[in-house]
Amino acid sequence: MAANTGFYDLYRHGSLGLTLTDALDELIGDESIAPQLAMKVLTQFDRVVAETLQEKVKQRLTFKGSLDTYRFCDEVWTFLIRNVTFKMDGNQGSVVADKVKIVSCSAKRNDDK
Amino acid sequence: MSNVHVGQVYEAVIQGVIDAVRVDFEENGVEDGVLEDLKKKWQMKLSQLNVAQFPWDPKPEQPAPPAQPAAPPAPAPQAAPPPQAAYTQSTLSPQTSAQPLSLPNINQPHSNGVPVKQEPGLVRSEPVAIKQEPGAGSQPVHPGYHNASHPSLPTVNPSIAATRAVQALQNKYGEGAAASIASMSNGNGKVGQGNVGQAQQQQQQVQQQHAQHQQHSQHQQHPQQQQYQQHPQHPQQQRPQHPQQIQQQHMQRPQQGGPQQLTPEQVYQRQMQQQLQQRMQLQAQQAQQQRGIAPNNLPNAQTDGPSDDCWEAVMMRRNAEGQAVEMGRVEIDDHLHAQIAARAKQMEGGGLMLPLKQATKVRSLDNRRNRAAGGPSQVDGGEDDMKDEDLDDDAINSDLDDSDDNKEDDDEDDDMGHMMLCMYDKVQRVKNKWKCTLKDGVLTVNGKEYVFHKATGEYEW
Repeated sequence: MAANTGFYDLYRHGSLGLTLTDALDELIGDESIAPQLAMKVLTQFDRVVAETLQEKVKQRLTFKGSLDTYRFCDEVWTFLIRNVTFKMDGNQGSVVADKVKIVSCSAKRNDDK
Repeated sequence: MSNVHVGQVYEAVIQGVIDAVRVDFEENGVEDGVLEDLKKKWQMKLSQLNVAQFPWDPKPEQPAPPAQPAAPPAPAPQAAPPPQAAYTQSTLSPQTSAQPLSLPNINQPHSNGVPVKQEPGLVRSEPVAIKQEPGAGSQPVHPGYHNASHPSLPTVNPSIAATRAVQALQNKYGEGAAASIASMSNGNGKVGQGNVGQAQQQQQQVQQQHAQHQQHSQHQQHPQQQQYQQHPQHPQQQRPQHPQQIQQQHMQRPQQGGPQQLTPEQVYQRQMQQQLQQRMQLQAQQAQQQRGIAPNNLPNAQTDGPSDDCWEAVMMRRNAEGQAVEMGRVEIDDHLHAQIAARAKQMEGGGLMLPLKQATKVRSLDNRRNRAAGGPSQVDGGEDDMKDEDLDDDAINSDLDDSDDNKEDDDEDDDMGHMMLCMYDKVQRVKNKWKCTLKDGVLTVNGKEYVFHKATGEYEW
C-alpha cells in the first residue's frame, strides 16, 4: 500500500489525484513524458499531499450516522455509513449525505517510518 | 459548512508537486514547458470538477486572490509562443518550397516577399519564420524536379517530359520501376511492348511461385493431394521458369545499353541512365536471390483473382485439422453458417450497443439471479449448458457473498460522489456503537470537497 517513500497512495483516488492522473495520462499520450516520469510525479504527489494536509489544515470535523458496512483488511479500515451528518467546527450549518464511504489508512504506520 | 480552505490547500499541493518533480523533469530531459503544461491541465481539470473555489479560477467576488491568478496563468503565454512559431513555419515553408517547382524563375522571390512582409505585423514571432523562409525556399525539397527542370528548360520539350516521368517513377516505386524506366528512356515506341511483356512475365512467375508455395505447404499436410497436383505441374511450370528469367534479363540489358549510344543529348541524362543501369543489375540479382530462396517476398501482382487451387487448399486444411476424413462442401458450409449464426446471436443477445462494462454486468447478474427463469435476452437456448456450469460454480460459494458483491458494486458506482480518504488514529467499538478518530482527510460530499485535520465520528451499526 505504502509507496517506497513511506507514504500512502490513498489520496490518488481523490479528486486531486484523479485529475493529476488524467493530466499525466494526456501527457503520456502526447509522448511528452515517459510513463516512468509520471510514476515519479505520483510518488511525489503522495508525499506532498500527506505533508500539506498535516501542516496546512487545521479544521476539525465531526460526523454522525449509521454504520452500514465495516471492514478491516491490511491495516485499512473501510466504512460505509448511511444518513451521515457532517459538521465543521467554527462553521455554522451542516452537510447531510445519505451514504459515505470512508477509506482510512493507519496513521501510526505512517509515523513510524 | 464552507470549504474556502480547500482551494488554498490544493494550490499548495499542486505547487509542491510541481516544484518537487522539476528536478526529475530536468533529469529526464523534459522541457520546462511540459511541466507548466502539466500544471495547467491539472488545474483545469480540477476546476472542471467544480468541487471547490480555486485561487487560479477567475473570481469576481473576493478581492484578495486576484493577485494570485495572475501568477498561475503567466506561464501559459510563455509556453504558448513556441507552438505558434512552429505552426507558421510549417505552414509557410510548404508554400515557398512548392512554388519553385511550378515556376522556377528568379523573379518569384519578389512576389513572395509581399505577403510575407505583411505578416510580421500580425504575429510577433514571425521574424523568425521569415528569415527561415528564404533558406527553406532555396533548399531543393524535390531535387529531382529542381535539377531536371533547370537544365532542360532551354532544350526540347519531349526530353523534359521523359526525364520527369522517369524521376516520378523512380520516386514512387524506387527500384521496382527500374525496368519500365529503362524501357521508357529507350524511346517512346518501345515503352508499351516492354512494359506489357515484362509485366506479363512477372505475373506468370508470381502465379507459379504461388502455386509452388501452395504445393509445398500441402506437401507437408496432405501427401495424397500433393500427388494429384504436383506431378503434373512440376515439369510444366518449374522448368520454363528459368528461360523466362534469363529472357527477362537479356531483354533488360540491351534496353539499358541502347540509350547511351542513341541519345547522348545531355550529361545529366547519361548519369541518370548509368544509375538506372546499376539499379537494374542490382534488381536482377536481388530478384534471382528471391526466386531461389524466398518466393514469399514477391509483391502480389496477381490481378485475375485468386486461383482455384488456393480455395481447394483451404478446404483441405480445414479437413486435416478437424478430422482425418474429408468434409464435403455442404458440411463445410453448414459449419461456417453455424459459427456465423452463433456470433450474430452473441451480438444481439449480449447487448451490442451497450458499453462493455454494462454488457458484462448484465451477463454476470443474469448468471447469478436467473436460475429458474433463464436469461431474458437469450433466445437461442444454446447456452443453457454454459449457464448451468456457471451457476454450479457460484453455488459452491455462499449466497451471502453474492449479495455482498452486488452491494459493493453499487457502492463503487457511487463513491465518486461521497467519499472520505483519511488516516485513522483510533477505531473503537462498544457493542454496536463505533467511535473513530480520523485525521488528515479529504472529504467529497454532494459535489463539494472538504479538508480536515481531525475528525471524530460516532455511528451505530
